[in-house]
Amino acid sequence: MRSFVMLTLGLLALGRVAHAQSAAGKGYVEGVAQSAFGNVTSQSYGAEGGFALTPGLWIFVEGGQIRDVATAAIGTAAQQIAASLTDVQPAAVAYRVQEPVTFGAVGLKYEMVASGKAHPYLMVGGGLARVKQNVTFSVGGTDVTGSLQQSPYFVTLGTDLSGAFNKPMLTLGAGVAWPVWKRLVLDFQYRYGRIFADDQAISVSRAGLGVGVRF
Amino acid sequence: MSDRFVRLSFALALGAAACSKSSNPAEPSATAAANGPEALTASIAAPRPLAPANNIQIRNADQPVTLVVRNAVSTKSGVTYTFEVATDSAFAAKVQTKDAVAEGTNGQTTVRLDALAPATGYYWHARATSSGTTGVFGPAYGFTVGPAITINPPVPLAPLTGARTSRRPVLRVANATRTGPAGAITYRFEIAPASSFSSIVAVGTNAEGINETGFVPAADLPVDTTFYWRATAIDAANGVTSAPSQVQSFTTSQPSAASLIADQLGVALWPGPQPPGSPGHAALGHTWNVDYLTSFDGVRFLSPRLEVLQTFDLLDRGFDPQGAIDWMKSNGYPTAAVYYPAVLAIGFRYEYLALVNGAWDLVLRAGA
Repeated sequence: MRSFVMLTLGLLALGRVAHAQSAAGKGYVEGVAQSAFGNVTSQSYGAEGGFALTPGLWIFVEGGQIRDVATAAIGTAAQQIAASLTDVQPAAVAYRVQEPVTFGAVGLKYEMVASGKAHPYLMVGGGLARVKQNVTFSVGGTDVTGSLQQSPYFVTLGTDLSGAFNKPMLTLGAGVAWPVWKRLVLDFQYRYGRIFADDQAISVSRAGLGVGVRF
Repeated sequence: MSDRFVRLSFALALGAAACSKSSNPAEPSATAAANGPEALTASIAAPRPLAPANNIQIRNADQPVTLVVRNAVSTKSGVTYTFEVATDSAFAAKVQTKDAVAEGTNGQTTVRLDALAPATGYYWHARATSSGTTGVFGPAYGFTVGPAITINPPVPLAPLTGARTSRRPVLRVANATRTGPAGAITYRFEIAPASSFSSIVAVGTNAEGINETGFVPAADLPVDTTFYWRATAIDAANGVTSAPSQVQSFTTSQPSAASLIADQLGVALWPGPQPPGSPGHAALGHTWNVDYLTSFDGVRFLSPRLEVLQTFDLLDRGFDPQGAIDWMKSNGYPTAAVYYPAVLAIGFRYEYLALVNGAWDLVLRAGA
């Protein structure tokens, strides 16, 4: 990742000199759908937009949601609590762990010179991620998450298995913008995100397609 | 462009400042973590009571009570425990709280309580604290501490210090006084060659008698030896034991002629108060063989009868005949003996003791 960052920053530094011409337009907006993978595989949806600072150098803003980035730690913790529920009553115990992330980031996007229609680019940005910890426990098929503190469970969920937290997020990305018709652009993209959570940083990759317009 | 970068930097700074943590209001709150204000706090399943078993009765004598829980399940390490004891199930009337109890390493955590008031019912529960989370208390168990029972040491009656006894003396104590609803009392008697009781030569436990309790060693003690004895009252059901009685000593003597015959009869010569004096003042005459005889009025009896044997023993201890009769009557040994000084004889129901040629003969009565 460090190499990726250095490469990106280097390209950005050279951007004003190297980029002789930019893709058409001074701004863009697009919607994106991605497959997210890291600790678990899930989906991600969002939107991205930007405007050109100089030819080839854009400032971008993105926002979206990743359905699940659950770490091994939260799964292990939930399993521990589920095991304790099994000890105190005879019915079957199940648990479900999901950590959806809502994020927003801003950054710089450098669109490299291209001879053809395709416009490859690199990007780096930073922002904020809100990570929700949706953990539910069921006993005998009934969700008991809301009554865990009561008899016979006597369980107190800490912030490792409940609530939500906001943490800084780094975004690195690359992709190829492909104008397909007039202002319509397809964006084949890859994004790497790292959420600086307290106990365990969360890394998640997203690969997908954006559909947008340039104006 | 520089203005745009300033705005970008400002936006990033705002984002960083917005980093925070929130809890679902439906979930229990967790306080700041021990390992940093931003660290995630632990989830905890409360510790489970193991001992004492629920609703058990604990003897007051078995205090202090030790509470044992199965360790809590915590998603983070560094767990400590809080134990509460109360007289009501709502824990409004707490009598003891043990906080910051370190977790046991064998899967269980224990805490020893201070003394609890006797004859009272109690409830107890425990909770765990770990990494910024204080868990809820687990299920409450109950127990009852039994009533307070005090048993005072029994008081020695005989033999008292300085007494000379047979080789199997009857040790007697006045029953121990007690307070509280004591159960059945037994008495443990110990005989030792030294007052330290570092070694015991005879020991026995007898059930409590009426007003007093006695003990006879099962085997003869060495003759002409000084021994020390004491007794302890025991309420086994309630686990209460008195302090030992005051130590008394006695010295064994050569068995008297009367005590040897009593042994043949299988009876204790003096089951109650022990007479003073030492044997050697009188001699047995004839017809002291142990045998069944028939009285003048047709009653078959085992001769010599204890009453007669006791009378002779007193004579052997130096009593005069009338003094012997009087001592027996005044010490709880009823007798029908009558002394006839004119003929140096003592009359009993079926027989006479007659002093003939310096020895006391046992003579069967021929008629009323």
